[in-house]
Amino acid sequence: MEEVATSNVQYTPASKGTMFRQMIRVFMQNKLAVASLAYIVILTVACIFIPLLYKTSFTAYNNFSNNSCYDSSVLGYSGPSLHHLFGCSSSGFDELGLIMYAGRYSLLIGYLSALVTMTLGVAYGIFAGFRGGWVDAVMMRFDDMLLSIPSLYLLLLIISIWGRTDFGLILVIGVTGWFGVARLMRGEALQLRNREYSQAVRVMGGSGSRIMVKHILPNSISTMVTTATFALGDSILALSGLGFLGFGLQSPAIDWGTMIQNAVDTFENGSWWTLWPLATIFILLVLSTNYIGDALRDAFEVRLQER
Amino acid sequence: MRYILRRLFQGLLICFGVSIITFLLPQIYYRPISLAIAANSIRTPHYILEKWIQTHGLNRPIWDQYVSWLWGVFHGDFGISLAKGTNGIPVSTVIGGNVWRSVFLTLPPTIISVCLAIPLGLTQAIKRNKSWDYATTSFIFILYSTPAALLSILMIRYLAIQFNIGQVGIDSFAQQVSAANFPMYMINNFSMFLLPFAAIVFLSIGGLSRYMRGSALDTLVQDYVRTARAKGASNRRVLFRHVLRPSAIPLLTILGLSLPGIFSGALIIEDIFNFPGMGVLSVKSVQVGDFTTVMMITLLLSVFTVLGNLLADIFLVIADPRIRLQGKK
Repeated sequence: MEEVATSNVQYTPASKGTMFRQMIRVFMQNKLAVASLAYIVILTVACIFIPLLYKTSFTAYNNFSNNSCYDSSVLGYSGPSLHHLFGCSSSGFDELGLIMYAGRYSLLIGYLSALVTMTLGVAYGIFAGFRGGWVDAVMMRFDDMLLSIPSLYLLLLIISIWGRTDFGLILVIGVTGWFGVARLMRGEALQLRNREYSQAVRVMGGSGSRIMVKHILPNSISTMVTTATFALGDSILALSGLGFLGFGLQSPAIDWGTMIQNAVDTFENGSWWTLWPLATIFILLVLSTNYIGDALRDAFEVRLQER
Repeated sequence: MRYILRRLFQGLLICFGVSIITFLLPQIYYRPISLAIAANSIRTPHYILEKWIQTHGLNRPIWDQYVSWLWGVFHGDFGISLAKGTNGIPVSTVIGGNVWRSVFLTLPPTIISVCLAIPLGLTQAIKRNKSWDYATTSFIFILYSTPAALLSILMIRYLAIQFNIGQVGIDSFAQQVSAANFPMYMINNFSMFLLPFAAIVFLSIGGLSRYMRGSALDTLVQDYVRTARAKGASNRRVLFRHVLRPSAIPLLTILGLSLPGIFSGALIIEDIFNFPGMGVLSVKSVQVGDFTTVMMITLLLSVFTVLGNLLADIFLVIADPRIRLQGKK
């Protein structure tokens, strides 16, 4: 408390708008990150709209006679052409359309499970960090336990029990992803609860939940946003891992991991187009989330330095 | 010493907690009767189901089941598989040598990736923002963003099939090699294990080298490094004596923390290369609903992780006296 009294630094409270604008400016200077963000936005929009352009179905198998994907000269599905930009998948669907169709599920599950991860992790971490003492110790030991279980095995264990549905996958990936987030947020809350403003609220008689919700939560937004981008990448990766192992969405729904699994045989037999477009889109997506996360971290750091 | 003892105690506590979590998770969902039906058949008479539940002790209170299960685990008895196909077979028989084979698969590449990550991160830090840093950093970023499955498939397609480097998968004969003979088997058939090894190295090197770069950057601006340069130590001596050690030692902690990630990645790699390890086994077990086996595998791997973290911490205390001082505080 003494520090508050003796410090005669003139605080000019920067309004939210300027701080936010400053951050945006720093972020926009990072060309790579802006490109990454644009990529994610474009990909999301494309996944929503491109499947609508197709008159063919992505769920019902076509027989050979009326399937434009069937190439009678090679007795198989055709490669890239003007008609099918990315060629045709191993089961006779247009590859570009199928990627976008699967992208709807993959992105939706990715976004939502990242949301679940963030909600659980932030709530748990801030509560533990704010309370401190033995509550913190117990909660963090519990977090340690969860962190030491390999995530994919934990996913498998839960799936072996709960089975798999779209909604279940969102929950399962979200529920197994928050341990690291909680640890980060706890560190953040530990720092913030001893700041002058938190102490001031306490002196004025503000309740603990008020400090947590109104003061610690908004001030840890930088860590939260950065973690959320990484969480998005992680959950998309986790989903692809599950899909690849055969525990992804069930037909007629399909996700990128299942598509990779379906493409293995045809790809190894020489149909390069069954994997490469998907691989490129997928790797670029995860790469973008990592780049954005890095850029955001830098942007927030600059903001802290300038303050 | 007290610090080590405290960490040891914490590690034991965590192992204990993990065992509770892995034991309770299935119990939340399954009721004994549904397990009995799943393991037998829907047409089984009720009294037989009751008897099945009795013999497997599923009607006892959960804490009682847990204690006897834990007691069994300490005696090397991991319980009995409850799934239909493998009902009655001890889980330890189902798991067999798969545990050790998995360890043999993950350990060497992890060591290799540490050995590669240290020089990589160090050179990146020295040539910060030069072309070498940018090139390797983007390469690492791409590796880091590639799912293990894609990486392995691409390696199989372009290395094994096209250029005959390594092999497409592991021989199914490997299943019959006992755990004790397995290292020898791996050395003799190295080309078979080349690609899985490389995949795990690629998988784990990203995080490690990033961390090494960051910690070397921190060390390079320390006062003692400047002092060493000022007193005229050669560049090489400064790097090896003053920068390498303090920045490489914390890497051990990171290695310990990234063990779960490596195990998870190895699961997919095992699946692709058909390696007879715990990954393939747990996928199979999930498919047939044999959750007792998955539970045991998860528990074993978690305990390995905890032990790995513990070893890393203990080694850290021995290597870095500063931590010992902190512990005494």
